[in-house]
Amino acid sequence: MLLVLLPLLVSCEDFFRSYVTVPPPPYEKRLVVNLYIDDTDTVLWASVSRNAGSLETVKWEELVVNDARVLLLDSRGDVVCELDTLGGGGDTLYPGMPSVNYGAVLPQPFAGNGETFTLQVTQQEFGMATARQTMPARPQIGVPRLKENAGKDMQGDEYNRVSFTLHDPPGEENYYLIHLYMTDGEQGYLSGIPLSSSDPLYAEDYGYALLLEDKTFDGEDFPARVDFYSWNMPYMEDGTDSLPAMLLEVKAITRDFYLYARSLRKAEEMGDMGFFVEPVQVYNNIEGGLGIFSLSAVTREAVEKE
Amino acid sequence: MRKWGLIFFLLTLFISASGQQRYTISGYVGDAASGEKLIGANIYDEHTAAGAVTNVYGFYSITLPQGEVGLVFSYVGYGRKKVSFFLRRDTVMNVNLEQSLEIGAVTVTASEMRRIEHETQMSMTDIPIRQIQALPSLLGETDLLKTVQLLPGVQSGSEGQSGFYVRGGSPDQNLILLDGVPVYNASHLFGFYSIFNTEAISDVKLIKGGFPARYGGRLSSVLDIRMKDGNQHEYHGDVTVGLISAKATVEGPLVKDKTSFIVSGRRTYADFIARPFIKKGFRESGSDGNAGYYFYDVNAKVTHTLDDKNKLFFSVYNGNDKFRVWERYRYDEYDEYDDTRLRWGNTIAAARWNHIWSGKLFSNTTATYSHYNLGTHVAFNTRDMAKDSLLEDMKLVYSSGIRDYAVNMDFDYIPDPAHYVRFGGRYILHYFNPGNFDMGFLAEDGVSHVDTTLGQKKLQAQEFSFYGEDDWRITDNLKVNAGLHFSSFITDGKAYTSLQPRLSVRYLLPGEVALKASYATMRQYVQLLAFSSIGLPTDLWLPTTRRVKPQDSWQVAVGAAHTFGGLVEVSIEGYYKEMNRVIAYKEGAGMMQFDDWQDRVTQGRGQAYGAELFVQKKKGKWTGWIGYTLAWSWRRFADLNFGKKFPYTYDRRHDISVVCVYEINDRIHLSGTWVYGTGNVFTLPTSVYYGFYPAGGYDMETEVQYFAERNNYRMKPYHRLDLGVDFIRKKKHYTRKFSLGAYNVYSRKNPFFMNIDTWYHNTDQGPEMIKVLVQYSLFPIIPYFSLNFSF
Repeated sequence: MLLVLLPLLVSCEDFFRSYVTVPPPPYEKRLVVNLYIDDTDTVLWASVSRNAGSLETVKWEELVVNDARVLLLDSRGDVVCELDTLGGGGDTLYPGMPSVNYGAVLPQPFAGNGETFTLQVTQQEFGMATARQTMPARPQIGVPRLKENAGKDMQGDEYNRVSFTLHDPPGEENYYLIHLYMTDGEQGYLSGIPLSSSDPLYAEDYGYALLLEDKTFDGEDFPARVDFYSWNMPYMEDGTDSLPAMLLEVKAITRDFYLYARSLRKAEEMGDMGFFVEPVQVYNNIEGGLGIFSLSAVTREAVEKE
Repeated sequence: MRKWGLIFFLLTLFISASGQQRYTISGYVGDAASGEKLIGANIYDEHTAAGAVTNVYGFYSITLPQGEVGLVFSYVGYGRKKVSFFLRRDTVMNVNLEQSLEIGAVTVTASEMRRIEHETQMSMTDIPIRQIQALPSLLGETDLLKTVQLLPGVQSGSEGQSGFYVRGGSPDQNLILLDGVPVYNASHLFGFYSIFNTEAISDVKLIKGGFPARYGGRLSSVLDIRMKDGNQHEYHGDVTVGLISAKATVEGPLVKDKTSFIVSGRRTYADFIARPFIKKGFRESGSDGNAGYYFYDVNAKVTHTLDDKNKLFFSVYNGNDKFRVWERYRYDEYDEYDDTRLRWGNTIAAARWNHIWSGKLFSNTTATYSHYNLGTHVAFNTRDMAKDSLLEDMKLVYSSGIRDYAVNMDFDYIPDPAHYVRFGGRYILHYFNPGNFDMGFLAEDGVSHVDTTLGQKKLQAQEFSFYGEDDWRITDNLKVNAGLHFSSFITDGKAYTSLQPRLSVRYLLPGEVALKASYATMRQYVQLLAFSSIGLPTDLWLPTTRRVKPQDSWQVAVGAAHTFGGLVEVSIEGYYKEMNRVIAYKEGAGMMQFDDWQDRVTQGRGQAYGAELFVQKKKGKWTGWIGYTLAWSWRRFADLNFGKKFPYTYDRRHDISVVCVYEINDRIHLSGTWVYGTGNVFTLPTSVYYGFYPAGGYDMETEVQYFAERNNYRMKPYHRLDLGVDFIRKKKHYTRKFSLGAYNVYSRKNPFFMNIDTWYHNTDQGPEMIKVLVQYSLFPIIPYFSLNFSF
């Protein structure tokens, strides 16, 4: 009977095809909000868009949400400011970033250390998305000092090192983001310098910066060291003998931003390696939506050459 | 902990001291035709209703009062044997039972049988090896582990894989013992076949909970596999030719009734068949080359009876998988050669001494060796033939593995029919190689040759364990198995210790319905670092270290068991298990990373609970079982899923298996299995969005794949029907068996893995890109046949 059945079964169409397409998983349409505020900012800018299904091939322009109301509230629920839509993109306020579609100009720097703020974004179709953050205290750091050609890495490349002391407040979780900028001394910032560190305390490099948490040095004076390569600096021409003036920026960031930055960076690094890496979940702190609302307090110090 | 120690101490000291003179009858129970020892044979005294069961070496001991005894020896599939005499002194009695020829004959009475409700042990299943061999299988390759997957509480992994998951545990939480020696990698062909050749196996037992104290070292299960000793009376052989492999077994006496041997070997031969075609393919593409894959395994065992009290066993297993592809390509004056080889396998050896100290005290002393090794060799060179010089020369050799040397002593002390005391200890010396590279290359100047070694630090560890347990029949209705297992692990300058109480209780209700409950704590010091989505020989066995702590678990189970009509065993159980410090890769950790493995892992908690129903018939024309499992399995890691609980990859709500063998007559046997399982879970992005971030004066924009939680998507259910038929013809000098069947008869497209693929469609405006969610399946209907001769 089996022998009779087999040819019958085999004759069915697509009997041996090894794959089938499956309907995409359902997903909830949500607002996506990205808003980063430094305590020194006088201009706020935000990106408001929506998510798309994992199988949709949509362009950014199709996801932009320009008819939302974006409010920043203080702890009493009073409106601190409202970010206005910039239309198709933030060319006027934020050149080169078409994803920025909301902005506001403040009469004075944002400040607000220790205060809690609520981001509230409402739109008719997607409802309300909110997030709450408390502005950290400004980090206290010692004078940063630069040592050129401080050592060689495993590949034999020479690196430069900026060392400084980070005074970490005791009894609380603190997170930091460290940047180093080239500056001409007159026009302010010129460009960020890609940083690296062989110290495992620093989490994955985040863009040009390094992320740090105080789990292992809570309340202590942490001797921070960040490295960079001359050959990897922007605008450095061949034959330049000396390094330009530099500015160290240390941001006290919130835990939410730390988790978001780490996971986003890791997800980017892993890219599309499929089965060969464990999936990375990108953190978000927008209730009723996706994205990140972040507050950070900034300390900047000029770097002294040793 | 102290109270457990006290209880156990009292239990082990408790030996009933009756005023009446008592004597001990002891010996071995074996198969009359082969002399093979029968494990779990039942011994029952008609006069006192006392009973005993043979241990894993076929030894039994029963102490009875002086007087008339009527001992009935019985075993499933064998005729009973009754011995009556007047007991007036300690007596050694070795008994051989004849296999029952009559199909379906029930030759023993209910009270003489070893029944599920009589045993204290719960969460335990034994599968007659004959049943395993009769079941249909993938490409006709009888597979022990795939049969184990059909039991309730046991889940298979991906389609066709022989790895198994017990009560929410991971595959490395299963202690697989071959003749008492741990086996680290139990699969061939990237997990599609298990390494166990069923022709060389005599007994298989799976324990999922209520672990007796004699077992330790793994959290979730013990699969105790015993090899045959070899026929002591005459030579026998067995040859099977299947679709992908051939196997042969020879056994017989070296010295009749004293020394026996068994040798069994198996090898796949797809490489022989494919090689000419692959070679032709290379030639057609303008090069020399070939590729091939095969696996083999060999089991050998010698058993020698020194005298009535002493027996020696030597057993060896060696199995390897080998893959190689090489190509030589010549163009102009250049000669290019590349060669890639992959090999992995186990070598296991054991020397064992059984000694009967007295009719009441039996010991087994074993020295074992177990080695699992993975080796990869990649070589590439380019030669300038005109100048006869090497232009490029590169080689990469990677190896990883684990090597164990162990000694253990186990004692069985049976003071009287109410007690069965076991105690012993074990010492293991582990050597771990978490992955080492040897690299060699020709430098740019074409002269110097630099060798460098990269990789993980090799590790050594020592593991000790001691145990004691008593299976105590307190009353006719109440039985208890109580014990303690102590273990210690020393590694990396750090010592870990653990005291693990074990308790199983059985209470027999009127009507022979047994209520059972058990509690067991377990500790595990070695773990397999494996990717969640695939099982590869590159998965690494690694020890507990200073940073990576040992895994612990505790499990409670309650259940009931009864044998209906003396034939159909039914058990129902509920369980709850918690696991601490289970191991997993961190987010973003990849296989192709070479940093310290400890940086890539995280430890967390596991939780599993569920209920299992098992209906099994071991005798008669119809044999087989029905199993149903309702289960939940969770994981929680601080570093994964933002600390929130998520379903384990093999969290499967429902699992059903129906297994049936029908022996129409001596010549035709039909078999079938049907399995159903809720789909596996995996992580699938459900939506995408654009995220951006300011960094160093630059602003990054990136597409974020969003999923609300890990393992958020459940695949379609898995189900499959396999059918087989055996045609058996007995000739004068041999028996021929022709097996025919099919795997996945209705060709269900079961999900193997899923992926978001990018496809391109041609449109009037040119190619258009679309994304599709694709479910890939592995096996459609796969017919098979095999031919077996036994003589």
